[in-house]
Amino acid sequence: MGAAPMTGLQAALFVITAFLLIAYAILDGFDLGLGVLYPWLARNDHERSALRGAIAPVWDGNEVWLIVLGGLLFAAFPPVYAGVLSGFYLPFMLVVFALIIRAVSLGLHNGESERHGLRTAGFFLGSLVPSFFFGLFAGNLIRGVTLSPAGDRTGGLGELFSPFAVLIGLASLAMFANQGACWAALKTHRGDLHARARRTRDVTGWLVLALIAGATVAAHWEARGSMSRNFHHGLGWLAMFLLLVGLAFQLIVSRRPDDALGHRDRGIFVASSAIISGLVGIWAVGNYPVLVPARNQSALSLTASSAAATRPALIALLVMAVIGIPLMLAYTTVVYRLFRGRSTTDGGATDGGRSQY
Amino acid sequence: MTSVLLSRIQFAFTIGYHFLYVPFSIGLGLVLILAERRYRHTGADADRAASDFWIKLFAATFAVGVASGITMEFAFGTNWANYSRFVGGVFAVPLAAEGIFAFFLESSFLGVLLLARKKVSRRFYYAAAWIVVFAAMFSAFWILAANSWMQTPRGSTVVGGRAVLTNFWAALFTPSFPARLAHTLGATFVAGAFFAAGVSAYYLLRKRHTAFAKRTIRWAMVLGFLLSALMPLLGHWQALGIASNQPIKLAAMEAVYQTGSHKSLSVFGVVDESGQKPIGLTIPDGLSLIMGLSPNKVITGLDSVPPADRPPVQVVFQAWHLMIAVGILLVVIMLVGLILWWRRRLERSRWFLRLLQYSIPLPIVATTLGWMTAEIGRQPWVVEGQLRTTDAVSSTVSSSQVATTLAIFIVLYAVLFYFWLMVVRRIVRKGPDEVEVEPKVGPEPIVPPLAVTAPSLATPSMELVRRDEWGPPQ
Repeated sequence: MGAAPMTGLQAALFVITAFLLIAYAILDGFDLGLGVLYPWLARNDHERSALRGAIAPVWDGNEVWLIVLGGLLFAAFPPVYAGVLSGFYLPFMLVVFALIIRAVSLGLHNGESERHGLRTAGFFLGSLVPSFFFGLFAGNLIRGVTLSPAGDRTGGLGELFSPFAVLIGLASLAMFANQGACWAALKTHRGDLHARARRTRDVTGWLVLALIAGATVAAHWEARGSMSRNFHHGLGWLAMFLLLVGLAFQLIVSRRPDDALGHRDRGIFVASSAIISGLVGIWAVGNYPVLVPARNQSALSLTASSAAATRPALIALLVMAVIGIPLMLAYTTVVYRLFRGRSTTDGGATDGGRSQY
Repeated sequence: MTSVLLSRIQFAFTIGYHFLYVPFSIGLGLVLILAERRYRHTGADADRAASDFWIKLFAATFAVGVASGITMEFAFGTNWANYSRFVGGVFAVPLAAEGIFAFFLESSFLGVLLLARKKVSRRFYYAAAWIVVFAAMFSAFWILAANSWMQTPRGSTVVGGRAVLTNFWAALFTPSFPARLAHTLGATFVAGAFFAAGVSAYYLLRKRHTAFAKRTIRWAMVLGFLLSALMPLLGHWQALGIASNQPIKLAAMEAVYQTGSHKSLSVFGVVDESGQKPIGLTIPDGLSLIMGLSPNKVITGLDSVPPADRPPVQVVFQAWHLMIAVGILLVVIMLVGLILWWRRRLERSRWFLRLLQYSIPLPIVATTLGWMTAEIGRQPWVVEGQLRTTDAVSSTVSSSQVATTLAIFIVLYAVLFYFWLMVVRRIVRKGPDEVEVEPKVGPEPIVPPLAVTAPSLATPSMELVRRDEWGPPQ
């Protein structure tokens, strides 16, 4: 690890980064996951409109958590931002292209159902690619990558698509799909669509369980034992608790017969969010203080100490985060409260009932 | 081609593309605020329809702006890893602030603007409109601060091959920042005014939505004229800063090879690079006069630095002079429009309305040329005097990888542009919702655009302003 000892400031920025990642995964997780399930969940124009309406006011804001995460990582840990993005150049660009196509499929349309096949494909692929690749990147960052002394990733495609990283990619896909199904069930009125979302939620819940179990076993060999650090830290226990309680709640409660009316949709969405927080939390606690582990030589790993920007920059960022993150949460709350309840269609506000989004 | 050159082309293409939409979205933000403000005072359905119309255009433009902005947030890490390692602790601080303080605000409240008119009070909605527009400008503030630091780095030192932040405020408010911010924001408002005027001209030509179009075109032309007339002054302010902080950029802009006094100002022409002088229409002593109010003002020439430290002169010279030419054209168009309106001939002057309609892209041409001047004029430095562009690129990304992504960007962005154009065309063709039957013939009431006493305007008493041709109140 780096020669200098870790400062409280560096640790604080590590925690803020993890927090932003959790917030992003929970929030953009449901609209990405909804996109992954969109072609199967929605069978007609009305249902498509209802599903898009369930995310229309918020998906753009959700994506900004990623932008903020990128900006913060760039400023606080420049070598991490530089090494990860250039090291994963082509797959990361694929994610960027996917997000662009997705944004256009959702945000730029003429309010009518024409070309809905193209737009459905754009929304689906634009959601599928990031959902898988974010997990693939996470898998690489858990497993470790080959780093040069300059901090460039020098490993090849074989390393990028290692079975473990692919497994984490699939787990991430299942996790986001689950989050999307839970959101769809929460935001749609009772009917075919709602029932379909609930059935899907049951399937994705078990998929998440199976993939996480597999990943846990695989991590034992692949993640250099780092994940076991969770047993030695209070936050690690908290993360594992969130994951297990979330999983148990979703899988047990959703099977109860008295939930036929969907009164527990909110609770199950919270449970799915807990699963996500738990998983990202376990990753963060297990890797701490390492941000990018080097497989070839652990001294080359990029840590919150060795990769950090200097003190004045970290202080500026901490001040911005302390002021800014509560504000971001406040706007999020305002917007989500405004659009609470189950949605009917994706528009109708400014245009007398016609589709806007 | 080398990966440096390809990465430069990719960055120039993606940022240039992004900045096609940014001026329109900030400019349309201003337009929609004016429309929403009017609705807030009158409460008339027609005014609400007008505001909704601008919101739709704003949202479509914003959507492409966001989509192409995602690329930019990560482009430094993907293609410019060594740049990112060098500058991250300084340059990225305002970038992070942009996300936290501005972009988040904008995205959250755009959802309100688009989808919640019936869910919230008129006051809250009006506030949301202001928040979205303010946040768009606040975004520009942070991004331009980061860009200005690259041009005139301050508040940082280079330690061990990394730029290190020493003073946050000095790094944020660098010498080139105030003028750049004013000039850029001014340009976005000009773009908004030309958009509004062009769309109104389209309706006047087709005699559709005439009440809306007449109301809009008048203030759009007033605003467009005043702002585009202000731009040369803001540009001059910026040029004075360039003269003192980046003299080599100024030397390239005017093709000044030898340091000295009595330097001429080119109006248009070409640079004779072997003869080391501009050829074309020049004003003798003009540059010295305009920069120092004296023909004896010494202008630093390109000869003050070795050839390896000079930007490509011809491109910078042409971009700079073309920008000025387009800028002057913008002022002239709006002035002609105001004169025609004053002489009550605007509606009959179909040639002018057609010209106005086709002038919508002109402000964007000017902003693009302006950015070319600013960014190519900074070469070969990516951070002025501290880091060369050739040393900034990602070492692990090969030229074939960049070539692949560049090709995809070109195709994807072309498709995106087509979709945006189709959506905008559809919104414009449909126009604001017709809330009442417009009189097929006869005059329209003339309504001051910013009148605060507006409620009375909706009354029939305004109809007394009847005349055969529409023009200024007497």
